[in-house]
Amino acid sequence: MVEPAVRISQGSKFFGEICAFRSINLQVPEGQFLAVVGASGSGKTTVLRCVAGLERLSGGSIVAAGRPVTRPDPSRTYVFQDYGRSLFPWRRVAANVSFPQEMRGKGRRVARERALGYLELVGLRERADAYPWQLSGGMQQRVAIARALAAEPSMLLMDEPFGAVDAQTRMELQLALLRIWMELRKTVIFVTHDIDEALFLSDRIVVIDSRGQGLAMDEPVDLPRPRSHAETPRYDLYSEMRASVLRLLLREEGSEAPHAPTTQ
Amino acid sequence: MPPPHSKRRVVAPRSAMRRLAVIVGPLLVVGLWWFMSASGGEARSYYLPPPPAVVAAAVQGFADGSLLEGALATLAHFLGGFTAAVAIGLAAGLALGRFEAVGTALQPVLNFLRTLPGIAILPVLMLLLGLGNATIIATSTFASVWFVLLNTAAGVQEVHPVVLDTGRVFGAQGWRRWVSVVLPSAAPRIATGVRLALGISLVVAVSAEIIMGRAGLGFIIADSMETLRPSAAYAAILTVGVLAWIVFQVGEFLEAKVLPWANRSDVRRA
Repeated sequence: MVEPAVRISQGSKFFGEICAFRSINLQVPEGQFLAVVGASGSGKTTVLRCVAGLERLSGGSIVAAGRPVTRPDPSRTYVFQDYGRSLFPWRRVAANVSFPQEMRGKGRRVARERALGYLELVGLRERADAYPWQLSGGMQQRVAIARALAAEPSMLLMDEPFGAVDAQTRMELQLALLRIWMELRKTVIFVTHDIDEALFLSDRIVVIDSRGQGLAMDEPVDLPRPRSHAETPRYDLYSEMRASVLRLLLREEGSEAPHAPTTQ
Repeated sequence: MPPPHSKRRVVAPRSAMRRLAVIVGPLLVVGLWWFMSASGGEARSYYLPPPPAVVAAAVQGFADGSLLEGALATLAHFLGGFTAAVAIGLAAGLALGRFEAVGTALQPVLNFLRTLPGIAILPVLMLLLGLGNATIIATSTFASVWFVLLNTAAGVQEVHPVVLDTGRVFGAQGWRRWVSVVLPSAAPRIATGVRLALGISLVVAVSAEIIMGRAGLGFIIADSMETLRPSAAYAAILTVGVLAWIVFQVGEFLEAKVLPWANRSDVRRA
């Protein structure tokens, strides 16, 4: 069997007494677009941060590309929701995108040359010399994606990246992301609380159980590609999956938890 | 109220008014000065000489070189004090920001020293360092260093977690983390400290000159009053004002050059 891009075995994370998640078992094959959905507070962002190496697991293990994850590595880059902070305001757009290469000791010229290539890919080459804060939110998140790609990772970790932009811009960004993903075929783990976004983008959806019972759902999304905002939601499979994820999330949020919640 | 479409016609005369006001305002102040000087009898016109007498004293001061020499001496005192304050404050502030426990332990002392009027140390330094330039510079540094130090330490400690995480994700480690992530992120805060130090170090340098100086505009002000030449004192006071104005303009210019991205409302808020 081919080694998966990521393998989480019995992963758990506690902050003091508080459980972020528990009993997570998950394998992500190379090149897959995985959407991670969960109620707020279910620990989905923490899972992603653990995969990135920004947090250490409390129990269990994460193996990425055959090696245990202990700290961040440029082979797994991260796109933060808070693009306004994550993009460095003191660097112009191109210099933000060349940052990962500069940190690896590449010369500025070479790093910039590559950065311009990735800016081209996200359609922002002509804004290379602007400051990020001079761009719209959607453009800023494109720059952040270009920067994440410029590290030339094998895996892209995205934490609700489109959560802070308006609906129209979000759709444009989703399409741009899919286009880039089809072109580069990197593994993507995409955390979102938006079911439609998860269904529209992914090959597979997992729902994290907010009571710490591991994964509440793990289903392939066998919708044809390329996807379109007008057509994809019209498939029966789309509405069926949407309903079952929704039931799962609402039941979890609204229920008297049968198990005592760890967070009190 | 004029209708909205006539806005442009309203704007033009208003900006002309404003330009006129900028000229009229200072003229009024000089006029008031002149009036006060002339209307209070001989004693008042002695302590508050009329504008022409001050201008004459200034012309003479620059002609014989004394005012320029004084201005250069003050500039040297200020630059010495300010540069030392920035260098020491930056180094110590970075160290304090790096070792948070030390920073926490020293915080009350540093806050006390920051609020302490720095000129109070002058008599002590006069004993320790003598009556030379070193004492003036050291006093100026002592008064202003805390602002750079505390703001640098705070700037380093307050770098937003997302910024630090971003650095980690893309492999910024060791000195690169400091040079490429922490320092630029703290720069607007550091600039605030430097701006405060700029004002304080100049004020304290001139104060020290007035109290003990052998040279500088502060010395000229004190000396002119003691030797009963109030017009010369006022000429020196005006020169200090012009010097300070130039220093602040240069400071603003340099800040805009070094931190072109820092004068955004959202950075200032953060």
